[in-house]
Amino acid sequence: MKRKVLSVLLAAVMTLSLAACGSTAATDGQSTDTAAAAEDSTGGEASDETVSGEKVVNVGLGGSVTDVSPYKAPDVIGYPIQFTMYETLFTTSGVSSQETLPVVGKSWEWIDDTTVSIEIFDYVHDVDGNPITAADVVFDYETQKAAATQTDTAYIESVTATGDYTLELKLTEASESTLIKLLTHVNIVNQAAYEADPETTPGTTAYKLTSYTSGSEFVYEKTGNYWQTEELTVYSSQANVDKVVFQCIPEKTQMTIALETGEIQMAVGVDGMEALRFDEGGENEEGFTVDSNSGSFSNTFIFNVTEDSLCKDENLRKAILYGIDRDAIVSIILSGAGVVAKDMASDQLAGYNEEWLNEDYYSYDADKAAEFLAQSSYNGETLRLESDSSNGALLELIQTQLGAIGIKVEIQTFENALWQEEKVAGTGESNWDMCVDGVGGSLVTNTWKVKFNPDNFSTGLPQNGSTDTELVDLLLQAASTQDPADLDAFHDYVVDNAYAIGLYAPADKCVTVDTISDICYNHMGYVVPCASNFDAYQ
Amino acid sequence: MSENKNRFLSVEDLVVEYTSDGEVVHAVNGVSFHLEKGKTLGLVGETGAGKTTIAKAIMRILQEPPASIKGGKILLDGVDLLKLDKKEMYGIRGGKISMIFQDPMTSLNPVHKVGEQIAEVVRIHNPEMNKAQARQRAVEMLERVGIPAERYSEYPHQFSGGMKQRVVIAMALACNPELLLADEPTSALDVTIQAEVLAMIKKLRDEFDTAMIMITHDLGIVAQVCDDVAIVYAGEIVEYGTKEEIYTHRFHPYTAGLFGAIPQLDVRVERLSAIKGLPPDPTNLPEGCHFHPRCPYATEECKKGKIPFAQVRPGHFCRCVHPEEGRIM
Amino acid sequence: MVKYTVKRLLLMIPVVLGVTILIFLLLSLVPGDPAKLVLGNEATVEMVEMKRSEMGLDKPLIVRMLTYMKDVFLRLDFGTSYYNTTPIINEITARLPRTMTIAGFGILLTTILGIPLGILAAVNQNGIPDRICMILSMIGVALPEFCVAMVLVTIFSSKLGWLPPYGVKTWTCYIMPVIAVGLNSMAGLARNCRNCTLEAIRSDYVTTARSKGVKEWKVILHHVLPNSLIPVVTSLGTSFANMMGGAIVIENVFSIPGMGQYIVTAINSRDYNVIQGSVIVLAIIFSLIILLIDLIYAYIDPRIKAQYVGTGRRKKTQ
Repeated sequence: MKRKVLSVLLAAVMTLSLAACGSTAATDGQSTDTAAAAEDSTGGEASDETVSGEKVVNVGLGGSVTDVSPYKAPDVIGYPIQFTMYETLFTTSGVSSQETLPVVGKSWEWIDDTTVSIEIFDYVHDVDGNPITAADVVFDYETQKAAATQTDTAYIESVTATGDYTLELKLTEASESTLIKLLTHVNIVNQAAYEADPETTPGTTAYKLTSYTSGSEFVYEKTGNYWQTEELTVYSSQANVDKVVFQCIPEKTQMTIALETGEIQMAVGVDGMEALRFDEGGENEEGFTVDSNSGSFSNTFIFNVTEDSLCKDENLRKAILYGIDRDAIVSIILSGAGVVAKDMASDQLAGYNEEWLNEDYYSYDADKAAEFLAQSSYNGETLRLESDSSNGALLELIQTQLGAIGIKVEIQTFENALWQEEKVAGTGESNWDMCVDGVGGSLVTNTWKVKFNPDNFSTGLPQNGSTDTELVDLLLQAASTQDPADLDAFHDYVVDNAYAIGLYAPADKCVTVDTISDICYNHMGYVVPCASNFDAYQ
Repeated sequence: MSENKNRFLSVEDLVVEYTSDGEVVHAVNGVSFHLEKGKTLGLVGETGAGKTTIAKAIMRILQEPPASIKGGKILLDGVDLLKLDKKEMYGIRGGKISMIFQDPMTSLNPVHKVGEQIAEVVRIHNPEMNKAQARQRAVEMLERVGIPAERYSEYPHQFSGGMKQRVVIAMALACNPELLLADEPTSALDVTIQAEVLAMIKKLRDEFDTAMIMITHDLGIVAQVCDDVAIVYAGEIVEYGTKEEIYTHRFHPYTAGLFGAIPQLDVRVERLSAIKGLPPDPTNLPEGCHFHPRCPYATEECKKGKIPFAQVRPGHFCRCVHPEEGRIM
Repeated sequence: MVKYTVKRLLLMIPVVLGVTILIFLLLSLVPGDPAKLVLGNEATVEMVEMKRSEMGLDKPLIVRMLTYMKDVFLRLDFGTSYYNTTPIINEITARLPRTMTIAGFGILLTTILGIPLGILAAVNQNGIPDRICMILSMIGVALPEFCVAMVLVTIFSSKLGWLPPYGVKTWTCYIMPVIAVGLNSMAGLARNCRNCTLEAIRSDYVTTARSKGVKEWKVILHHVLPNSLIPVVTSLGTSFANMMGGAIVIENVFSIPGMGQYIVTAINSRDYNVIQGSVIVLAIIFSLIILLIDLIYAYIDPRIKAQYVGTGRRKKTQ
């Protein structure tokens, strides 16, 4: 028994001494691993560093990032890291633009319907000094295709180098939008460097990954070894800080605390409610700015038009659409951080027709709702409204709104993976009459295709189970031509038939200290922290 | 019983109560007795008479709530044990006074080696001894009670009931106590083992010249081991005298009843004779003589007042209004 | 005892194999298509099929299972996640220590605070320490870990700035998670310990010990405690298991990249290899913990040790 007592005492002493040393140890040892920055902040200012005059920024990400390899599956949380580390062949000035800007690639042109010839700069090298040649680019595209983590690479038929700095890319279909996507979404790295280290391969930006703890923190430092000249450096490759530390903070209240205590100076992907604190009139307004960016994501509302559902009745559908008050939704669910949609796709996407913004797109109208309801065959039955688990509050709100116009609704949410199976109508297993489903994308037609392209669903029908062939024809026409008239035609068809509407497009909130301005958003609509304006920053 | 300074242990007017849920149980109601060095007193009575309480009170190991010693003196060699402080009592328990308990199956700590448990008491009362010496003494005690030395490092569950009780005895006598309190030490054992254990207790008592209080309900044991006898009923001593006196001259009706209840091998009877009635409710004792509801010889006088403890023969006392020999119950 | 330990270790093998088979079967039955989840909602049915085939998901279940088991047990190759190229074994090696640190120190804290509190309460039954213990237990059990965690962060990071609110950079980052996790179980343990001690205190051998002149504190520590510990040790084992599992919430709040976060993310994205690999590793760890607990029983209570060793000699010689 003495032994037991002794070991208990020993443990107690250990714990006490650990706790005692705690308060003194704050800046023990300047190992290159630890960003001493985050550690010694004791509420207050931006923590800076070892070398005076060096600009260091701590950026908070709203989730956990475990992987920064160039060809992994797309991960929105990790995008700021990805854009700090890698460049693509080309980029565009924004989500809605289809005009390419040169990055690694210098120029490209169609040489026949499905083939393009691309020329890259002959002095590109990665941050470690490894040169990039056309052979590397070919390897990159082939690797991305083999990894099969991006859907568009399925459209690559072949890619071959035609010279040291020229290559040919052949697609399986003649589509410029697919080409633009391929040119702007594949990260460029040196083949040998990738084979030596596929997990943290050096990229061609000005930043090098100097240390990291997977899932927790990633530190990038500017090497001064950027290959491009200052005049030609594209906007999204600007390197305006010397060191950036990305910190993974999945818990949103922790993110707020981190901003308040000065642990981070920039927070990407901040929750709407939390962002309000830092905005005008909020508790933490002092010293912070909130930047709002319309995102490319939108939440849509879709009807099941198969024989199994009451919503095959067009009058009922119109009644429901007029009964939903989307302004209320934006203000309650998003705390005002977003816009009411005027199409299923976000107004940021390429192909969006400005005129749609002025339409009456099923604005809330209780009288019209009542009118259509009376004309419909609805007799007090209960309809089912389903979505994935992130939309619980939204479903409740819609349920209340529809209840107010006399429609009984039952709601159910599903775990994301299950939702992917459940959301397809007409499989015989799904049960919804209406559903809420989110969608992103770069082109308006991509967004539409996600919902209505029969190829995407095992039923061979669009997501809503519609057997309307004209719907599909119009869609495919619009997707291949990208002609504004075709786009309009599809948009109108969906609206007139009340198949589906867009509910809202949430705005992405980025909170920063006052001294950072002009947040940089790249061609996909995401934040590139280091390319923002740090002139006033210390 | 002599009135001189040979009185080693002297209990005077001990009163012990248990309080629980507002009810007061009068366990011990003014008990007095004396014991000479080296002699053995038998405390005889039914279950619930208060015998164990008296013994525990002497050792002061009663659970203080709910029990409390309300009055009296316990003089050991002239020192009032009830007035000693905690530290002094620690020295007395196990050293000057030891106790053997009723149920050997649960008296030993199951997770300590048997030899260690003996060595523990040795070390407490002999701080100058080192571990090896204490162990040596423990081994000696084990052999004294007939347990081989190799079994020092075994655990209680490896011993039978009788052997466990022998270990308890070894523990109790390890420090040469001057007074041994034995609380029904053989009740839980079978008859053959009983005889052995009893013989052992007697032998050791003689070797060590220990005074002993033997608590029992078995008159046979009293006959074998005790010098003096005190009959306890409802927290009082109702008859007191030497063994020979009590066995040949019984004055109190209760005592007569007890002896009358012993079945006789040579007489044929249809039923066992028992004392009519049940022991009284200790929260609500009858007034006057506590035995009067069950006593066929009770009169009005028995029902009130404190009954005096009077001498009926030399050295023989009885608490009865009508003490008489030879009564049939 | 050595034989017993070896026997138990050998028994772990069928247990772990059984767990592997079970988790494999369960995952194959759970709805949700990993290929679809990796590719996202712009993928056509054809692309999904190609991806499934590339992931090997179109092979029959038995073949997949046997291949997986061969890789894991013979080559220690847990494969990679569907989402990236990092070998799972690397991630687990990095993450497991963090989760175990929190759970381990959490148990330590629970034990150091809980047992003395329980004993104190039992010894002073119905006195002030007892009442305090009861109240603390009720609060401790009622307050969810998340709540305690956020309160700690608000006080120590936000207001006082003494401790880092999240991350794993320094050992000070672990202090608050350990406290959050430990406080919760401590309440239950104190209660349990109190009840066991009360029972043990009423035993006859305690009276015997007192009659030997053993000082009261020594009676408690030396005679009562070892006997009351058995149920307490059992509950410690359960608490440890809970802490490893409940670490999910704590890891999320404190941004600690541990096993909890890893598994939950994998479940949401149906990352089969990650889930299987993590479950196997955790199963091994739990089995070891249970073995440790059983060995501790044997150390505390010789009767149990005798059972294990299987001798239980009963010398009935008188």
